[in-house]
Amino acid sequence: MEKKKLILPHGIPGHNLGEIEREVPASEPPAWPVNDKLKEVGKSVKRYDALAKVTGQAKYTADIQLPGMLYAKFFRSDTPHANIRSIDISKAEDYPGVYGIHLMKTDDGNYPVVKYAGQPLGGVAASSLAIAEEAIKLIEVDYEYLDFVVDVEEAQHPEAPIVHKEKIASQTDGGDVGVTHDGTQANGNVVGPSTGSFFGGPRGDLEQGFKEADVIVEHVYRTQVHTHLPLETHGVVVDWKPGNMVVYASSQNTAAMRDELADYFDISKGEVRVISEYTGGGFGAKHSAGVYGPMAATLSKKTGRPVWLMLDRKEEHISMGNRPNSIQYLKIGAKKDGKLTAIQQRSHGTAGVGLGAGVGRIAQVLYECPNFATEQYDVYTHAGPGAAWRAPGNVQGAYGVEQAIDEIADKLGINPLAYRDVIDKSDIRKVERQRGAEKFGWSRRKAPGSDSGPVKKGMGMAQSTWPRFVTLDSTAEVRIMRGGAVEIRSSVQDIGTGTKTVLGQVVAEEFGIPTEDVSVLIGDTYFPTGPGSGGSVATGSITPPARNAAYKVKMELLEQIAAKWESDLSNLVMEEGKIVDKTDDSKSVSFKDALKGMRTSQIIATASRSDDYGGFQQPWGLAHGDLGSVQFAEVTVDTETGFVKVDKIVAAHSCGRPLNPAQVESQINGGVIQGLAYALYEYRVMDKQTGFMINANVDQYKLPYAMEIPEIESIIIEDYSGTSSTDAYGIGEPANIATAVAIANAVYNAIGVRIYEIPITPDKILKALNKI
Amino acid sequence: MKTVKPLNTKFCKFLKAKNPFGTLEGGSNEFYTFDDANTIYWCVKSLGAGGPDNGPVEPGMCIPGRRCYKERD
Repeated sequence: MEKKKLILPHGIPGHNLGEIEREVPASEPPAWPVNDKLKEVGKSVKRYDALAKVTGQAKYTADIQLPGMLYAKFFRSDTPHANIRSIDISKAEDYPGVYGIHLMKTDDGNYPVVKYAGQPLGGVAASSLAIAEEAIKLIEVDYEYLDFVVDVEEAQHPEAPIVHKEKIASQTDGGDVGVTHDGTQANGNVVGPSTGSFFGGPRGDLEQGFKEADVIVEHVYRTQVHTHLPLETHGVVVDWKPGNMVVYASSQNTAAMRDELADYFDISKGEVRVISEYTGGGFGAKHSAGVYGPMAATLSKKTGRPVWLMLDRKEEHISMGNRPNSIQYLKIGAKKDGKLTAIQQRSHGTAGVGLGAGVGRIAQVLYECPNFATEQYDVYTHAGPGAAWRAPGNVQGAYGVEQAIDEIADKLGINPLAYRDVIDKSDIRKVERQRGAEKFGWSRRKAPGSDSGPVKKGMGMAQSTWPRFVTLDSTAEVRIMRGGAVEIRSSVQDIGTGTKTVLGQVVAEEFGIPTEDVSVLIGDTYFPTGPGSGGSVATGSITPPARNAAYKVKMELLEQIAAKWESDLSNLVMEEGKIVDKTDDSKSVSFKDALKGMRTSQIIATASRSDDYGGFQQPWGLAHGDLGSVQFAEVTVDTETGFVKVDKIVAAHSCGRPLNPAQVESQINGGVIQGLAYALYEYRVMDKQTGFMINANVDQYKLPYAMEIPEIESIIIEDYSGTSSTDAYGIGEPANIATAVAIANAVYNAIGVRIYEIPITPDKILKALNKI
Repeated sequence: MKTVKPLNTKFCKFLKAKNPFGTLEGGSNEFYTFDDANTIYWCVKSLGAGGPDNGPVEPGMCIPGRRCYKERD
């Protein structure tokens, strides 16, 4: 591949901004300067869809109406563990208005074993949602009831009811995962431990590390199960036609949903079209077709009509994924000078009937420590499955680690902020600490529990890290047309983060035109494949291809104009809505007129995500370095009632080159509010006697009201790394990791007693103060 | 940091995973399982964390020899 050298901005403005030379593919566009020198990028351009959303014109999946459309509802188990002897649907089938019923079966034609209350067993399609719901009441199930367990600690007992007790046929080769199964059940419900990851495994000598320590902190930290509550619930509208299934979806990954549906029905990907024009939020559980996609498609195929299937809020709570809970034993040792000598972590958590309850990454990578080991166990319970949830495992892990680090600082007599300067090697977090502390007024912080009177103020801080991931299978198409249109196309979806707008800004910057002159057509698998919106990968993955495709189109247009003007191509520039020959003032044409004079009716180019500049890219798309974040919290604690009020959060973040500061700030606000809710309010309560979630609503499952949301101030730090043509990264995950533990540290500062379990409800405060 | 390679195991074509970092594994994508402690697995055929044979869905189980196993295309 032909290469060229680029000089790119590198570092943090106001701190260490400089330049770096990178060898890049010759087809890459020239380097952009820092944001200050750009016209569209780095500016808080208004969202394309702002007006449509606030006026209700935006059509979400639930709003889709198709001729002859049916409404479907899941038929779910009403017991947490059972074998099904029979299901009688005759009365439901005869109910007026019912068009189709589909029951789920196992591969041997039997009904699946029920493993949690609310498990989907089938679906009913009817002429209205009310009829579907009535028909479901007529379905009769003959259960053989079995013992169950929903508590993560009880499930670990050797005599506990087993969740996955089915024997797996003998396997002779576990391949490189190294696991084989001889057909017997082992270890009950406990799976693991997981002791390493891509980021490394155990290191050093733990015992020696603790011997060298002058200070040791050792505690058990507990976090709760946190369910998914996107404003728009999971769901689809499916219109099955032979050879062409159209799926309108609330989705974080249209391409993945298409692929799964094609696999499920054993048809080609080309026969499935997934469209997600608007998605009302997603925090990790909308990456697949789920069970609702194939169910709606099956009912559509069966009835010959389009089928609408949106979940209700209760269904979201019980079956559409959750952030697993954790019980984390954590022991950290440090020398008198603050240097960490050993970190030991052991965790147990439940993702219900699924896996994925680890918490290890933050302990593993946030601070340098020569001796480290983690053991992370999954515990199966008879509860709804876990799902990826905004920085999986990191939020839980940070809750333990960043409290323990605070406690070590206390024992060493060092201010916790200054202590991070001793043990944290990250340059970006150092700047975030400095700028954040100044804006927050950290110098106002008093000694723990030193406020007089029953109502006490406290301040805390915490920090986090998130890797700079990208998805290399990310493609964008840019086209310009004689009529003046400029379009971007990709299957990437906008889940409310503003992906449409940043794509428009990037292409507008390249063409030297206003962002509003660019049309962004995304969220449709008939367009080139884009990335999923998760892991904070979307912006870093799809904006470079969009810019690169625009650059290809631009160069083709300029070549045509250079030929017409008999100019040297290198003298032509495209800026401020014009194309000019910088050596001849008489040669100038507006962008729109230039398009009218194109040799063909349109110029189209596509580009896919390049490897990161500088050779840091890994096979699956890991860029160099991390996205740092530091958050500060100020709280008021009423020691007579136990209520905690968060007064203020200052959140200092980096996401490479911020493309649209207002949108970044909006994401930070969302991350902080979710972190606050996790710290103080939200938790799933399972009834051990019935196996049901007893607060599957938005009343007892408490979310913060407007009055409980604090003043949030964002500090967005430009952090140039010269890794792609836009040098931009995401902010979704980083915004959510540190908030809960920053609040916990502030609560400690207020009352002088640590709370090792979230949510920090009034009873926990009063218990910690020995008042109840 | 080390460079990871995709696993060579012949996983079932219906085993899918979402790793904690936003990318999907399985199906037409390679499997890395580079952070298995935080990776969510599901079966595209049974539509959940339990397989078509009611057994658990995870890389160690969804391999040749299992009743519901199906080789990738």
